[in-house]
Amino acid sequence: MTGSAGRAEGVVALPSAFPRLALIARGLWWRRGSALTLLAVATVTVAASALGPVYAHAASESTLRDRLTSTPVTQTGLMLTDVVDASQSGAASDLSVDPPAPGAVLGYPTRIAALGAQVTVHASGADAPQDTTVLWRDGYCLHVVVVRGRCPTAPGEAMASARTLSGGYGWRLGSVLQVFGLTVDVPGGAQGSTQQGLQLKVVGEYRPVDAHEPYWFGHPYFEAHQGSGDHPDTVDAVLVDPATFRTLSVPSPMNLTLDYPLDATRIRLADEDRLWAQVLAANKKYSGAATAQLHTDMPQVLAAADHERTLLQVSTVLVAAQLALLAWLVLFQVVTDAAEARGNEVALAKLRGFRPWSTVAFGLGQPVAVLAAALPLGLLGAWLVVGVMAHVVLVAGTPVALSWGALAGALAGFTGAVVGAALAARKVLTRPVLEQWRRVPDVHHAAASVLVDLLVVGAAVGGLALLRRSGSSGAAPRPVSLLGPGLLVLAVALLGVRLLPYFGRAALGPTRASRRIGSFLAVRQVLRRPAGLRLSALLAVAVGLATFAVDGEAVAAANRDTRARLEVGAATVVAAQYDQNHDPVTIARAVDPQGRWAMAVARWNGSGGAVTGQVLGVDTSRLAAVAQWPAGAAVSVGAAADALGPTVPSPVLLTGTAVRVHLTTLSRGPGPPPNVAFRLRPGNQREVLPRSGPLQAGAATYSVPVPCAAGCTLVGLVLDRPIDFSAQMRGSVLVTGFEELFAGTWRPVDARLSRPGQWREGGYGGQSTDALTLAPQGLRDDYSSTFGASPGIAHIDSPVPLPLLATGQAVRPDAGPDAAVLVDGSQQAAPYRQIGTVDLLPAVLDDGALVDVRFVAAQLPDFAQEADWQVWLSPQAPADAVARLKDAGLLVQSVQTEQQRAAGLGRQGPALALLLLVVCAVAGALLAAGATALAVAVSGRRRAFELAALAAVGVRRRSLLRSCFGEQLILLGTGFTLGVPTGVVAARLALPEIPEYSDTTAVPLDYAPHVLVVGAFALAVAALLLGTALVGGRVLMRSAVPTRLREAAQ
Amino acid sequence: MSATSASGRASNRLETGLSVRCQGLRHVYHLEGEEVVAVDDVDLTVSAGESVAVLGPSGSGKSTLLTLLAGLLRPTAGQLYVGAEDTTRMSERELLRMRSQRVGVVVQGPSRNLLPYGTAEDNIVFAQRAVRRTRRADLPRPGELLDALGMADLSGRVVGRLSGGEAQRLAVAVALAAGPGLLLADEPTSQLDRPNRDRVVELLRTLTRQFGTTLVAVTHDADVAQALGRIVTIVAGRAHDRDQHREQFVTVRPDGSVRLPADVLDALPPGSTARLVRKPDGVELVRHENVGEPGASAADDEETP
Repeated sequence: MTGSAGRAEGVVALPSAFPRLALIARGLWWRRGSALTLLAVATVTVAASALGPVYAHAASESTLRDRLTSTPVTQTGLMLTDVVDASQSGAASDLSVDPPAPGAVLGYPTRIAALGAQVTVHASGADAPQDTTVLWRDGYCLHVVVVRGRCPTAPGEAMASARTLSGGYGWRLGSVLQVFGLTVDVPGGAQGSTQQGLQLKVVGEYRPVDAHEPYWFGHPYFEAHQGSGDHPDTVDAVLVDPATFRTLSVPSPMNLTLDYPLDATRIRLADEDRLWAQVLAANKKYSGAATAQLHTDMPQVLAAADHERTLLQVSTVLVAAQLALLAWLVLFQVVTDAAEARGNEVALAKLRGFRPWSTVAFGLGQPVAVLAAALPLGLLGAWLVVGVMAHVVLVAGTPVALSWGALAGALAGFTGAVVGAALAARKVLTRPVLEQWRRVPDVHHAAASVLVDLLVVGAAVGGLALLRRSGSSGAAPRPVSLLGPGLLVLAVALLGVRLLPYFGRAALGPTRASRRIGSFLAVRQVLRRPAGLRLSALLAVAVGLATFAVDGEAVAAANRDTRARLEVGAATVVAAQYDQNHDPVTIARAVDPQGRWAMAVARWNGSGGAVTGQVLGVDTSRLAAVAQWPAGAAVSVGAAADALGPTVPSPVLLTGTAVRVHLTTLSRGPGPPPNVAFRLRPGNQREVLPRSGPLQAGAATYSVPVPCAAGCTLVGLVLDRPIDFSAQMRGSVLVTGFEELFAGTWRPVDARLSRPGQWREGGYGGQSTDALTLAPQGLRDDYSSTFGASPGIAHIDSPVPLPLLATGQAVRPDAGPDAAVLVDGSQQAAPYRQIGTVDLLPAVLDDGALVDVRFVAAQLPDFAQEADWQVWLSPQAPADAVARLKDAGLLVQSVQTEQQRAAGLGRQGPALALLLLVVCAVAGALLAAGATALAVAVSGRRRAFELAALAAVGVRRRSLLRSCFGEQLILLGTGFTLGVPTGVVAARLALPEIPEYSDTTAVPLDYAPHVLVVGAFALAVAALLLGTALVGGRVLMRSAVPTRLREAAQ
Repeated sequence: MSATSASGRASNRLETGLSVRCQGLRHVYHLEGEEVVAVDDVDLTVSAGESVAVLGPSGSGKSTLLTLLAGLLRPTAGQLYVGAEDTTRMSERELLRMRSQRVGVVVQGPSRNLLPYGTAEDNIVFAQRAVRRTRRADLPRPGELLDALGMADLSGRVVGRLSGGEAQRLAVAVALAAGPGLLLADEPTSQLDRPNRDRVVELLRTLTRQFGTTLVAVTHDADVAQALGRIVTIVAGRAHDRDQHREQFVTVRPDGSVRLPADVLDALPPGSTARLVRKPDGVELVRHENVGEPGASAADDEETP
């Protein structure tokens, strides 16, 4: 046949060296419609088989990357510490062990050396010393903003933080810091040299670019706080040049730290085992060292990642396997139809005396060729689908690789498809020639298929029962539950479709009796086509799974959104560094004076009292507008805001340079007189207590200079107990007025002494009883104090006790009434009154309490320093809200949005598996609808003869069209009617058993079906099926022309 | 290439004609609990290279007879020889081999004989695929065969685009592709107009004339049957050979009895006595003289089982 292929019309020429391939190609071209459909279905089958491994690999990469980047650097990094003599080189070479070189351990390309000592320093001109860390850290100048001055470049030079310089400690640029604990040798003395404390000169003022960046490795360099008891305050680290340490006396033992922050971008899934081994080896290497210690939580992090990956891979394989099975069933249906269409050709091969294997080879040649083409296409398809999904949902830059597992999956899919093709063609291949020509119905096969269906239904119901029983045992949700919906829809579909003939037979009579012959023909046709019923079952399974998946994803997405909203607390959360001069409360109020979109929040952990959870200080006047409040909470956000932030008198403000009080001593007990002292809070700084002088008999005026030119709040007046007197102190005083010195003139201060509700007892430390009485001239205080307490009065600018809203878990139930206090780091206590209990609170979830941030800061001196400050933004915040906050002076550290959190949750293994289920299930539904269309096309030729014959005997074309449409509608409608409700039921039953997160959360999950989403999906499916039915019916009718009858005769 | 030379080369590579011999051939269909006798006790001999038309109305069993000859059906009873081989004793594999290279079949309707998407040459190559490799080299090339049969113009054309007549002629050519000694054709001219019918008939006649191929063609067209020469009619499953009234065959049943054909009962009526005359190759049946009727004889030259 040399050259014949080239001459054949409409056939792609193939080299004559491959005549059989050429014939296969012509056969495929001849039936290009069904060949293309087969190719599409086979491609989906192969893709589905490869999809699981490809997706699991990419998703595992993503979850690993997510986990490594979201875990604090203190856990993922390596930290090697050792004690060295800082007076020598102070370099890594001084370590007692051989430290890992940068990059020696996979994923740790950077090594940051740090030499530091915790010391006490006293700045020249300052009242008191402070604790701090004298620190050198490799390349620190690149990680701070030099506000003023410069970075230290020589021994004895230092740089202090802006917070320290503006914190009222007395530090200034140019101050000399006397360092206690570090000494230098100076010439002189009996032995030629003597030691004296190290002195540092402040040459620069810095602010960390981001105190939380991996460079700083989570070290507490910037955690300034007030000292408790006799301990001095702690200020931010003092940064020095490394040469400073080499000037120290010999020896000067000091901690040398080598930090190796993890570069997560360098870690691939394939590297995990190697990383694990190297980290463990490093751990082992340094575990026996005398002074050196390696710290890392990486093994635990990797173990958690491993657990999540297992969860993900199992889920993914289960999901993809369902699509692969569905695709295989569709493929089986398609190949069966295609094989039947080639029955005459196979019979011809037998007629020509082909041996059995040759007949099989000829019969399967075309489908296997298509399947072979589908193998690379399916692999490519899987890769592309995962590529798109990776781009949309996975961590940016996640590589999508065709692993060996993917290749094995694709080959398994291909093999399954070939086996399916062989099974589907089995009848045609084994049927005698004459039977093929006569088309004898296979009664035995029909009976066997019922048996198979019953077995499948039995297995499905059994599997479901097992899943339900194991799921109700209280165990955590398991990925294997993902099989439940598939089993349920399979059982319902098979049973439902088996019932269809009974309904059909019941409908035969009425349709026959009616004048609508189209309806009768439609019902009749459904009854005589068992393949149509099988297709209907397949469609029901596909639609059911798709409905479940869509509903499941909608439910899970809503749950993720809810969780993200509550965990983040607001639409956007801006983390900020606290600075007395950059107070977040003031800044938030300044940028959003209307209180509609910005709210300052402080997250704080107390140091005592009954509240064990985290305390969230919020600006209650903005709570309702900004915070994401849990739906259905026992206390509404409005009620909470009102109760937590009651109206209090406006503070008594001073702007003078001195203050004085007119006070009459009505009586006084034995003992030395107390000192009259003013409690003042300059700006947002810590309280100060300037003392005026001892209490005098009768009326007197007590004055004292105050640092209030920039504004102070008069907190109260204290009769400060003399330090050498510990016995009971009692007496009565009448406070008649306050005045301040402003521009050289004393002017009265509106202290509202005679007004009720303005002042309360304000004793200081220990036990003091102050009985306050309003008098026409002022406020009378009958005091009595013991145990070192000082009596006094305080202006009511915050409610006492503090209103507090807490979750049940956040407050110790066994704590007595005395424990109802919030205690700060300096053991100052503020009593609280719990106004209610809720299940959840924003940000702190089920373990926290809510108070007004202004009130708690007013009552706990250390609160502002100890808390982590944030500004929460509502969805109504302007796009440049963060920029506005920065412009207003907020020291922004980081920004997190609830969308970011929701996206992060969406990248967890279970969510990724659910998403894959949606993709697979929708693909399955489309596949099933496509298979239906194909069945119409393949059976169209045969059906066209019948329809042409009916048209020839006078049945109206409209009736025939109605019959075609009706038949399709019955089959497709059955699939839809069975599939959608079963999918919804499956979602309701199975979702509680299916994991949604790889971690745990206090936010409850809601499994109520999403009616809108499911409804929209059902409408889309209905429209798709209706369109398929219409097109199918019309296609059938278009081919039912009289010339068909002549073809049939041939 | 001239048609004559092509024909010569093609004929050299075709098997010489095969004889066909049926003896008591019977086939019963079992349909829904009922037995339908399609072929009833047919005795037929076709010499090698002979051309025979099996003529009969629809449902007479002629197609069943053809499928029995092709080995597509197993007879319920009787023997069937193609050449020297009893096909009733052949395995399925042997039947396949027979059809692959010794017996060509043209079934009713061209679409069943041809791959619709293949070219004429593809179909010939396809038919030659079942031939053993050792013999395949001896087969005529597709072009040669088509040339020899006067169908060179069809060689590169796709079957699906041929006319009915062209397709039917090609079906005959394809059936000859493996060089069979026997060609079985079922209604080779049905649904054809007269010119095409005549061309097909001429083609069939050419086969026997040029290639020596034995032809058994089933038809209900008397003109076609007439054109093929010898006619065997078949009615209700029973065959009558118009040209061989003096040579008929009966089967000796296991109990030794024979059933005489109806048309010899006038010579040996029921109840008459016959004399057995032993011959070297059988026994001659002669009416007994005592009866006083003119003599008649029936010979059974078949080997008794």
